[in-house]
Amino acid sequence: MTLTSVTSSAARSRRSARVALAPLAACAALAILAAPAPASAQAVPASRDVAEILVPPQGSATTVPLHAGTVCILSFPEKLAPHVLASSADFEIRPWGDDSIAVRTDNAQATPATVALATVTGQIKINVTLRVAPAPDPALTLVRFKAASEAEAFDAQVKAEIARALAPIQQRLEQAQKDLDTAIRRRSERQIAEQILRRSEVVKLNSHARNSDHVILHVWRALLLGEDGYLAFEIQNRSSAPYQLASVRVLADGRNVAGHAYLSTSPAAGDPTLIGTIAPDATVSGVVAIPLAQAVLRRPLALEIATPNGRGTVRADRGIELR
Amino acid sequence: MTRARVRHLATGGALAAATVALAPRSAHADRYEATLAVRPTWGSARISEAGTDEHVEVRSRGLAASAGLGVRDWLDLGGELALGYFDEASYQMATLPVSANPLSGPLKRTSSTAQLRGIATLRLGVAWVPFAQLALGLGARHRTTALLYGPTAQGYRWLVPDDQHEEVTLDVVTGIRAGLEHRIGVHWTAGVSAAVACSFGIFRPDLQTSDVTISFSYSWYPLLAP
Repeated sequence: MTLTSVTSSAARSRRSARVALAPLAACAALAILAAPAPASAQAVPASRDVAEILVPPQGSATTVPLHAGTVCILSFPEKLAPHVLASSADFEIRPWGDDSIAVRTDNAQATPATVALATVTGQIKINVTLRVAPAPDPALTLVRFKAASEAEAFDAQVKAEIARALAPIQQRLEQAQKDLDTAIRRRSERQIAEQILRRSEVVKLNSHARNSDHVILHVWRALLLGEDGYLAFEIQNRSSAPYQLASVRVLADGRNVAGHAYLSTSPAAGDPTLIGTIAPDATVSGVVAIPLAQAVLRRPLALEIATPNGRGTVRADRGIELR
Repeated sequence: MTRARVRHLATGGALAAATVALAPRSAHADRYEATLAVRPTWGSARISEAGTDEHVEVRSRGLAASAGLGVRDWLDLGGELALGYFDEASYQMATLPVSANPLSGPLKRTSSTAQLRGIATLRLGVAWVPFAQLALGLGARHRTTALLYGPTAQGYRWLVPDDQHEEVTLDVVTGIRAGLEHRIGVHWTAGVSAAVACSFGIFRPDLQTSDVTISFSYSWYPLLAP
């Protein structure tokens, strides 16, 4: 019995499965970009040195990497047939109970050997290629074989191939993301530094306003940073209901000149329309940006906050001026 | 990497820095808020006069106007001008000199006050505001000429006792007020309260007053220097 004959029969059997699962296979082919020839059996890694292999009814083949001097157990769900065929004597093969065998070699240069195994019922027929893996490479110490339908085996095979093909791409993507974050941060720091060098002044303000729901807006200070400006404010909620902040506007001659606004509390989770929520009896600090604030210097400004429905508006419109 | 993303991150970073740099002091509700209030009063006063041990209760009415500024969420400080007018006080028997001759008989006199008080108001609420107010100040008390009903050669007449002519005297005023206010809207507040006060006359008899009142006040945030 040769290795070639076993793999050929398994490949013929897989053709019908490929026809049945053509759409899935097409997706898989796209996903893995350049799909390699399908393996004979599918190893599903359970941990670093343990694998689970699904064997279709017509039998299959697989490769098991071993480290020299390490025992690997090949485990089956039922009793093994008494005859085991091996192509080489470099590997020591011994029964390990009725349903398992143990294999090992002390020869790090051992050539790959094939071992034909079957269970007594014939449910599982597998041709295992034993290969010595160099020490730094992963190797297996336990391989569990499981009977599976052809579709299950093919499905698992496709998934594993996709994962294997995507792994380096994923790695490259993560590295690129990391590099991008570093680059963005460096450029942001540089931009802030340039702004500070151009202009960095704090303007003290003292403007307050409230609404009839006892929500009070305090505008304390402004920061002129480069060509941009920032207004620091506090929202004090003395009502018994949470104040859901949806908009912060800075009005100059009726035109909204505000950029993004942020609160010192964490952003509202689950509702992207909210900037934040101020709990009853809480006071929360916030900052709103005024991009290109040079255009509104020495002009009266109004800071207006509102809830999503436009109710609860508080507008501080006196004493806010950037100079 | 888009310029928009860089700018967004830079803006976020700058905002975070600004949040720290500009972190405002802790604020309190009603702090920084100024209030003007008017209050008509109705009540009574307990008055005494020289020449008698009698204390007479008379009805009073008046008007007070106050201005205050919230220095804490729970404390307002301010000032108050209070005007009070009292019904004529009649004493059944008093003994006072008339042309250096002691005479006894009924006595009558009318008083009114104008007081300037510093007030500290402890506020204990938001929409409904129970409050207590302490007042301390100075007052001017106007007293009409006292009239003693005594015998003359022409029979009993109302006579003016010696040194009991119309005058304005100084009082040291202290008082306490307690009440409940309700904030009607952004600016307006209405309330009810009751108060007791004592005017310690300087070389003159003391005056105790009590009143109940309704008040109306207007609050706003004045532009104060930052």
